Amino acid sequence: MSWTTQLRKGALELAVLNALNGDRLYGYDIVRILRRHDGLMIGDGTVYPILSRLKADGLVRATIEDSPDGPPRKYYEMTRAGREALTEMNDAWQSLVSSIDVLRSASDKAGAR
Amino acid sequence: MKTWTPDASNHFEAWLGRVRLSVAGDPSLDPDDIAQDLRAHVHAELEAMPEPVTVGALERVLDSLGNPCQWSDAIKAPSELSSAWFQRNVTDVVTAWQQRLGGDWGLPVLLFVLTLIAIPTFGWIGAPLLLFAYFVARSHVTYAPQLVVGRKKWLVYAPLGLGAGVLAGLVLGFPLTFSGGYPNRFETMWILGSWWVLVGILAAREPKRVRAALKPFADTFDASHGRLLSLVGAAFLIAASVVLLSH
Repeated sequence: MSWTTQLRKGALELAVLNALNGDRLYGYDIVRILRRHDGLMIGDGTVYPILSRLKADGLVRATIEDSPDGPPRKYYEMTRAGREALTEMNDAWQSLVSSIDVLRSASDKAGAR
Repeated sequence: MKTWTPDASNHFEAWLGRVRLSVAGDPSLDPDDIAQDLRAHVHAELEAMPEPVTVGALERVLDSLGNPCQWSDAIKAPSELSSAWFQRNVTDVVTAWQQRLGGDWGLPVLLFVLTLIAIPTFGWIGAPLLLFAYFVARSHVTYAPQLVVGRKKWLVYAPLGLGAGVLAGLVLGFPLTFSGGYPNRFETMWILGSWWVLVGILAAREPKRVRAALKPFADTFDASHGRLLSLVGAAFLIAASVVLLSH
């Protein structure tokens, strides 16, 4: 598996939680939000095991509603534990990105010399 | 809710079954949960597509979902699980056949089997069997064309093709069925030529009836084809007349 694929998989859980932050969405809505951002998804289906796992971990809760256009839809929203986890994950992500940026700029300077 | 072709529905259910198997390899996932989300996703994606939903349209959506084995490191391909292998290769295959035969595959398979039996036993046994299979197949094509799609189509087309061939042969060779054969081939040509001129004129006048009789194999038949048959008949008639008069 390529490094990029692994990175995407790791980041996708964070992306799903951020998409859900403050919203109540069903799976396909989340997929459509993530599709707008290049490089996030490997396949649309990747989102669903993540949602299932987040639900099992108590970070999101789901309610099923009938749809006039098709089968019932499962709407997800974040739990309090989910919001707390998201804050921690966003902090960790920011810290990771900052560290990588510092390393990159140091390496760019070294390359320029 | 959109209508789907039976093939597309079967294909989707089989695909969902494979996804459930793959996902079952990861104890942290709920296969039913994921299948429910996927069902809603696929229906939403197909919402803008024309009806009925075909296997081709469905395949494009399934492709965009990606391979379930790539969704998570913990998800295993069904082939990596021995029980899953048995489930996929034996139980699922048998179940799929049962569902098909129990549903709208039953009749096409029966028609095809009847046709296969009718060919070697053509006569007192085979002819009625073929006639029955042809009649039912025609009813299927005429009144339930939405069920005659995909691979199923060929099972229904087998008795139709054979029946239409026999029917066309009987009509075109009609004078020969009574005579028991003519003493020489030029007399046969003369009789057949005269008959084909007549049949061609009738077919040119009523192309719709020919299309209906040979449906779905003569959908492009028109008056010009009837006239062509008359011309061929006339050529036979003239050639045979010349030979017969010269003797």
